[in-house]
Amino acid sequence: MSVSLEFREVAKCYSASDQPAVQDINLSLNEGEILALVGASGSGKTTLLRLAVGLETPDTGQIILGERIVAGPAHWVPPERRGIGLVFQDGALFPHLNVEANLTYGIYKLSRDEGKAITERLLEMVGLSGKEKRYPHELSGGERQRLGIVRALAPQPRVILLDEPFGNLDPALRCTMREEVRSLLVEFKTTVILVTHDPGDSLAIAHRIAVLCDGRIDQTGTPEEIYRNPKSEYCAGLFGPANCLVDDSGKQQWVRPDQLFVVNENQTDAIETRVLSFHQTGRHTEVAVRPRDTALAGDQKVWRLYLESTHLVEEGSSIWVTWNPFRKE
Amino acid sequence: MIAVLNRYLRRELDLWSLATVLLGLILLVPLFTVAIGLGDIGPKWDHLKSTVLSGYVFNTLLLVILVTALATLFAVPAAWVISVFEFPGHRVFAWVLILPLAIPTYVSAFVYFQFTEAAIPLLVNIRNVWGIEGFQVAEIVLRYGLLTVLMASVLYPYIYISARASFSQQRQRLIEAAHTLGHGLWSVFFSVALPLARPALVGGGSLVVMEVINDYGAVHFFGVPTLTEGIFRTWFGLGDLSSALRLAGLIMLVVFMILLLERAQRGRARYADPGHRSKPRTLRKLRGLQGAFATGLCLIPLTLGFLFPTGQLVIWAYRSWGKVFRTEFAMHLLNSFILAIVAALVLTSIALLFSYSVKLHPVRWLKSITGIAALGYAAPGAVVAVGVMVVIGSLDRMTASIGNGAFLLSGNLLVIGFAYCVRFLAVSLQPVNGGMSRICGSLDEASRSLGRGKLATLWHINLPLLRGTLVAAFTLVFVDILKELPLTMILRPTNFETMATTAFSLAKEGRIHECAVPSLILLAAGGLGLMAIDRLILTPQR
Amino acid sequence: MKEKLTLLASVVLFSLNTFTSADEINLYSHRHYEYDKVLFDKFSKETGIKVNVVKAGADELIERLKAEGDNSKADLLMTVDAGRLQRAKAAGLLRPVESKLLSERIPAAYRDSEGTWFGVSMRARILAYAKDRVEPGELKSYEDLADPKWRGRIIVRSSSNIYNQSLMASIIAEHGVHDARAWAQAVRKNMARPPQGSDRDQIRAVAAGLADVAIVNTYYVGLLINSSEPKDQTVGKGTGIFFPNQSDRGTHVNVSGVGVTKASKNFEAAIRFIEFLVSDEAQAGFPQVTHEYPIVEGAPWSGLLNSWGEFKSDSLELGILGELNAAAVTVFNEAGWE
Repeated sequence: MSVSLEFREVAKCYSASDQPAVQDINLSLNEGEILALVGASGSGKTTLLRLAVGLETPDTGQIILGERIVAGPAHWVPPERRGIGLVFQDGALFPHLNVEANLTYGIYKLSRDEGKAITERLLEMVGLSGKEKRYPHELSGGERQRLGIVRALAPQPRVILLDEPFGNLDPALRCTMREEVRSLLVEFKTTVILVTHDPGDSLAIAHRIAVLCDGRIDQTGTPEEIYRNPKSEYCAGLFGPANCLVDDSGKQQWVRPDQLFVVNENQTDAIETRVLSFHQTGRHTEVAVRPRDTALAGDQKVWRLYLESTHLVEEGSSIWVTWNPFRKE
Repeated sequence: MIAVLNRYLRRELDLWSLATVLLGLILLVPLFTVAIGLGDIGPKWDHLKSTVLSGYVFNTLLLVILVTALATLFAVPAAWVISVFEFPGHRVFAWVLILPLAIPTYVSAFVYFQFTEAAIPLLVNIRNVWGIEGFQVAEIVLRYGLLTVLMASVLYPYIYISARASFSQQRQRLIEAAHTLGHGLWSVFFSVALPLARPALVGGGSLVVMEVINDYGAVHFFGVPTLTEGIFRTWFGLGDLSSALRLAGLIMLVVFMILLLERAQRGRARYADPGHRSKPRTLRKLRGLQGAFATGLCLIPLTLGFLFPTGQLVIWAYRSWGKVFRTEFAMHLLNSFILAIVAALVLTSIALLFSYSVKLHPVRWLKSITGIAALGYAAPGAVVAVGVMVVIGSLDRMTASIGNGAFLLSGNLLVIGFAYCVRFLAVSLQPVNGGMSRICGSLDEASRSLGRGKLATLWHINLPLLRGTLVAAFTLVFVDILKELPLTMILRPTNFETMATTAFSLAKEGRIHECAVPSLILLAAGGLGLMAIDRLILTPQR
Repeated sequence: MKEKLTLLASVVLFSLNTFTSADEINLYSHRHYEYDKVLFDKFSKETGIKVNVVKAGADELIERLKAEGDNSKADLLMTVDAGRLQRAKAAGLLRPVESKLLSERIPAAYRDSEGTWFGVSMRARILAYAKDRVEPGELKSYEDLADPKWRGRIIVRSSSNIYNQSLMASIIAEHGVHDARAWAQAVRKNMARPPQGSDRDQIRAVAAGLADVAIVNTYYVGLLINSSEPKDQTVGKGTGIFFPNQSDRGTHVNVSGVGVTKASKNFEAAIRFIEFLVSDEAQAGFPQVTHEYPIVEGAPWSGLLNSWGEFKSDSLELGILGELNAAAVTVFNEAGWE
């Protein structure tokens, strides 16, 4: 598969601070790939997006789109000519244009009929048929979000970037939107970068995940890899609670709660722990334990694991646990 | 029934709305007294209709359209280019472009009238070559053209200020979105930036329209009879006040229609995008030819509206410096300043009171009162003066017996102050209303829930957030009052001169060159004030 | 607390008020001349009476006097046109004065018969012509300007100006409204350009070759000749003065005049002021500084005025100018003279 979008040694520093926003960025996406960029606030996710679209210029390095160098020491292609779509965090819908006009804004070069056909199809896809003449302030939050996405899709860009596209939605809607958007993107075979806070988004939609920390890429890999084998506390913490396991050589490992099991105290590799607290999460009981040998738990000193709701525990009692790096059958 | 009324009153009526209503009505009284004469058709109305009325209306409309169009052409490209790009001189242009506001139209008219004189040889040549018809066409084009250019170049800052605020605060996101959807600079400007700035443009544009309509000096000079000139001619020349008032009413109708038309055309589209403020934007650099083009766009209105008139004034002042300065001059200067500062302070406070009261009780009748009280801006200065005089005269007749005439108001400086309030309320109310609406309502609610009363909330929460807006309102009123001529002349106490009246007297006497000195001082004071606005409002992103 | 506020308010009102003592008179004047101040200062020095001035347009000042009524602080009203004074009289704003001195020194034609107003200086509205393009023989009268031979050669300022309105009033008085309208129409057709600018601008336009004849007041030519601008001097010197209608009723004249207000509290001082304005000292100054004619017969003229020569002036009672003002404006409107 050909490389669709590539960052080579890209770095950017905002003049206001001397701390670089992003540095040493080397990233390449294949055609049709969905990459999720995750990281804490200020880690540089949005900067990378803006660099890709052309709303910022890189200080060093090159950005290559397909076969064209679109940004580099001797190259510059402005956003309107890159053919990269961007879905903004809050939609950025034009308030003075109605739904139809918003949608067709990016495909103004097509004939009227072609434009109409595309509009109808896209609106139907996201359940907005019949609302062509409405204005953005007359739509609900979810409708606005969907409109923002199809508006960026209308010109059928080769690459599309989504900046927290599900930001304002409630959880139920969020879930449905994830499904819809994923299938849309896959159908269009677009290369995608998705920026999100929500671990659920990235795990559900992306083919690959890149973790950004302080402007650098900490780790890339499939969702599975990142979830199961995070390289650092930071990476681990982005996707949910993680337990720190220190092995004999002092190396730290990150283990998810569902990878810790209660076993018989006689089992080999069983580690003695004491129950600190527990609470219900609806699906199971989450238990916080402290291993006898606190050094095993690193700085955190606490492990979390899940038990079946039927399994009873008591505070202060001892249980033995072991961990399994692979998925529980 | 009474209980319901009582409850309603207690809820809706508090000290704030009471004060607002009272003040609003007081400010309305002068205009009201003038409007009373509107009742019957004056004796000369038919005569007016059959002779000059259509000419007045035509000239007024023509001038309004031409000047507003040209002012928009001056203001909008420059405002946009400064908000979006980085090019040689853009930082200076940003605030310097407001300076023409400090120049009174009549002063600029003196300067520009030179051109009509200088153009006479050219016109004579045209007459020799193309005969009377060609000459007449050329003469009219030249005259109306110069008048349009001069008025547009002095008034465009009204549009420029609003446009620039709008473009700068426009959600960067929308412009970026437009770019990512494949539209280049020009396309984005016309399809997104410009439409979104529409409310601001209308606001600034309506100020221009009113200034054009109310102008008396420049149009008189250039021999373009407008409705305002008709008002005075009918009132004094024909002695028919009623017909004169009808003409004034016609003016209001024209303004009203223009505003209505714009509202209707807007339809359901919204032009404000209530997003959070964007970070200070990075400006795109322009180099070479493009940069020069942008610089040119800014230089043209600046030169026509400020550099050229000021340059001419400086030359004149240099020649006549010694003749003008006398010991009284400093006194006149002081008069100008003190009057303007005090009146501007009062007007800003009134605007704050009105705006806050409406926020506390967003009921229609309260909003209407504050809106109508601001109508004084649409009336010519002399009309306001007469209304005020009649009111004060009546008051004086009532208090004449008290204290042996000690409380007579006629000739008191308070009278001029009052007249300024009637006339210029709109100038302070508009920005303060805008600023107040930008304060999130939940801030006030939070303050009240924490136990602070209405006054405390105003003082501790609203005032700090409105600081920039209040300074802007103050400065705009200050500049307008410094320039003000007709009201001051008519209502002043004896021996009272301001920079504006001094300049006018000198010009009337034909000592045009000497009138440059007070004009320049006027300009400097106004210019400094305007610079303050810019530093505080337009430049820092809030 | 309430008492304190009232006291404070009274103090503020008091301090912002203007008070006139017996040694002061208040003058509402339409004249804008520097020279006036010189005159007033002279008067103050001689009599010890201070002169306080409000300068504004005569129409507006009349409105102000009307509104202020008996409480007005004004003692005197001064205008540059007799018509306005007549209007003030008709509105009941002026008070009759009996002064032997004033009756003796001011010719009857230049003061109100009932003594409500008095002219203090005089001016004529004449034809200023380009010396190199017009023979004096060509010029005759105001009425002659309607002749087609003047097509494109005449230039006059706007009819909104009071000087033109008074001239028109005198023509209406002579010929009636119908003929006056015809005259106005014809003159307007003969104009080289639509009315614009001031009298001085008309003279400059004549000098520049745009027109050959302008209807202006005499003193403007004087002001140009004596201007500090070399350009204006050239213009002034190249302009000839013609007194129209010498063979019939005479050239239209008007006065700058002053009247005592009914509301005046310093009646005596006000009369002294007017008497000063017609004193030899004051009258000698007008021709020299403002190039107006003195009102007192026999008062000395300046060299310039002498060079223009004696002329016959229209003996029309100046009060009529005020009475016919509305008719004049109506005629202008109908004739299309902007």
